[in-house]
Amino acid sequence: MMPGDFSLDVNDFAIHRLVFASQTQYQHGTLSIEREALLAAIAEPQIVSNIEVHLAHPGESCRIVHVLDAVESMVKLSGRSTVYPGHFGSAIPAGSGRNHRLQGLALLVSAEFPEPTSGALSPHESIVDMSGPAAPYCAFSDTANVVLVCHPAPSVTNAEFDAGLHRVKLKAAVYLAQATAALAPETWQTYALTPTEPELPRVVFVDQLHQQGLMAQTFLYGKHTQGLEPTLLHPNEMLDGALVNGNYRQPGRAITYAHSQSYMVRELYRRHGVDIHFRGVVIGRGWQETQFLKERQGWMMARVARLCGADVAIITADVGGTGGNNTIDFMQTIKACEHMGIRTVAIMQESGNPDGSEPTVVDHVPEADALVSVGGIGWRIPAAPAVERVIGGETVRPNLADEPQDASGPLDVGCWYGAIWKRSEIGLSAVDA
Amino acid sequence: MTQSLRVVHFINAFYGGMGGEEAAQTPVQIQDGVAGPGRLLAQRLGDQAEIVATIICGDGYFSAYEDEVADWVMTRLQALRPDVFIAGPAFRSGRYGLSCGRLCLEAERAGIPAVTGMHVENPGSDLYRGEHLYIVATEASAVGMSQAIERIAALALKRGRSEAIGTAAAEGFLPRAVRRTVPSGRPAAERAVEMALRKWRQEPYTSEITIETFEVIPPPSPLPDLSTTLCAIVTESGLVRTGNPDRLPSAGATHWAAYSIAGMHRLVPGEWDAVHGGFDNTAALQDPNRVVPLDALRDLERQGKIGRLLDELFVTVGNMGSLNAMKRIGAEIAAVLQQRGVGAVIVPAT
Repeated sequence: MMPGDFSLDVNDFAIHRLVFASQTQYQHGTLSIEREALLAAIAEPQIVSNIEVHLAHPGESCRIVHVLDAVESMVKLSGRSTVYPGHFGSAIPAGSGRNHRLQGLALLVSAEFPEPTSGALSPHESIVDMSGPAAPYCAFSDTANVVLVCHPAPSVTNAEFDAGLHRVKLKAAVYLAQATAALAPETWQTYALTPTEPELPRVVFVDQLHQQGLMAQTFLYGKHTQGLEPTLLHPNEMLDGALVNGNYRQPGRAITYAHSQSYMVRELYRRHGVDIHFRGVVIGRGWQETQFLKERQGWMMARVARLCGADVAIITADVGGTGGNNTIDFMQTIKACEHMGIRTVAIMQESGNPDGSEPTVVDHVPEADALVSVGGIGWRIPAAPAVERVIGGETVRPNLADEPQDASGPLDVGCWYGAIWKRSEIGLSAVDA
Repeated sequence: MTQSLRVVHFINAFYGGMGGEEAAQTPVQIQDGVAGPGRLLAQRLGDQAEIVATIICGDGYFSAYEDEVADWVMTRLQALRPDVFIAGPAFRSGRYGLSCGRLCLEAERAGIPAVTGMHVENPGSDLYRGEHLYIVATEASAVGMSQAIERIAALALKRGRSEAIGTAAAEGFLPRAVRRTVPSGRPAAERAVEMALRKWRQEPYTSEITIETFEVIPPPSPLPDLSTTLCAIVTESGLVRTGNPDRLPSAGATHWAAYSIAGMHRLVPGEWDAVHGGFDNTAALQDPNRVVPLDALRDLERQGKIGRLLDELFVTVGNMGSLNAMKRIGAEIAAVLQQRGVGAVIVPAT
């Protein structure tokens, strides 16, 4: 392998069952977890006083509450850098070598912050039901889940606690995958942007990230993206976890798992050399502060896309979560791409009320003439019944304006955890009716 | 055997066989049974529905006496209580489209399902689609009568029987500003790449979201003399009295609140909360005057640069607000401001 290569082998180990045991090991689809060894590997005693480890499987009468993020469990066994680069030392460009990945397992972090929060910079309630009518519409109802319920040490600040939570989840992600280090993989795939027929259209994935501040941010190579100018990522860097989520707002939050398992990266890789030439991923931050900066953001995104030769751009914001303010940056990016000669398609959520009679998009430009909808966030799914077991807390507050309610009781929630991402994956859309 | 539905049909004087432009001033009238295109409509409805009466009005007469005609028609509809009201089709005829739209809207408001038909460029379509009316898409002229009547009849039967209505594309009506979330059967990523390739190859494709058109609001002309003008503060910042007595939500507000600022020189921290969920509220809590600049406005008032500040502060939450709710809230607050004789409004945003 050449030093500057971006060729990545991903070896997958399918996980169907999780159990606690006296030794952490992988065997025939079952991951046994030695709780004490896991806790020792991920401890952040100055910041996180206590970590509970829980397991949840699809179909169980189980609800996970106060979910902040979810990550894929993976480890880099050879190649430059590490998985989740920038979080384990130097920010060496990732995207090469050989990874082991636990497929079908998600590592969830559940926590409540120690200090009061306000306005845009406060976490919103996020709930996963492992069975029942809500399960098809929330993320991680179909994965075997290791849930880390984290409690803050006395007198730590929200910022310190948040930084600690990122370290805990990423160390856990590596620790669990390490169990497969000595094993031969069951399935593997090599990811590389190999040469294609020259006539295929050159496609970039343009990903607008969420960055407003603590509780509402995205990390690139271990640093928040405040001030980030649009830049280019190799898709393998995405697969390696170059983007880590620190955004806890609902429902348009991009989960770390949804970045490393990006549906656009997977789809564009699948078609690379078939009917497209996948050129790379352009990232930049949305939620710019002024109209000038939003327009500038659009032009800077389009500029990078064009400089890497794009004929076509597919754009998402926070994995489909185009809600308010960030829709303006998003539309400006579409406009700029079209003006730079790039044919652009954008994936959007729709707002509006349950019966769909309110306008659903807060901003548009005439250039945005090819939009894919992932459905309306006001769309109601049936209320969930009571559950036998709750992980993460005793009460929930789906709406900040309401009083907390019993976490195990029946719940009528508009958007469950990862709703927009899930809706994109299962193929919800919206029509004029 | 389902019972036959009762239908009232509305057409203009031209389609009522009364003549061309010379009949445009024909006053509104009603007759038993069918007239004009109602015959074809009756055929299509078959034994499933009966047109019990036809209302006819000249286009010119309607535009001259729109409200009076609407009242007249509604009185008749209240008496006849049809299961469904059908108007037109109006094709691209502008005045006819406006009358069909207005009467359908009145019928819907009275709880009578209504269906009309127009060409997409009919001004009645622009005006009434946003009111969620069912307007079947037609050709520009009566060349498309047969297809239009067929679709109108099919949709009218469904609406009269309160049956589930399909999508705009399936039923053949114009998008009416109602969005329904549905499974597409394929992940967003697949659909996006396919749409992108079609766009790149310059092949036809269909955007899944109809572009909204937004009303352009021209800025008002400057006031000649602010020093004699009563000014008011209206804000969407969610700055509320401590404890949020009016229960304004942090997002998606559907109401507003008014607070007295009489005698206050500035907003005192601790007496105000910020409930808006779309910005970091810390600075607003530390000094509410930085969101609602009462201190600065009182200075201007003292210096005589503005006439006087109204004693009430009007507040809602703009975060994730729906356009329709915000329009209503704006109109409600504006009505109060007008009542108070306010001549200028300062709208600090977030």
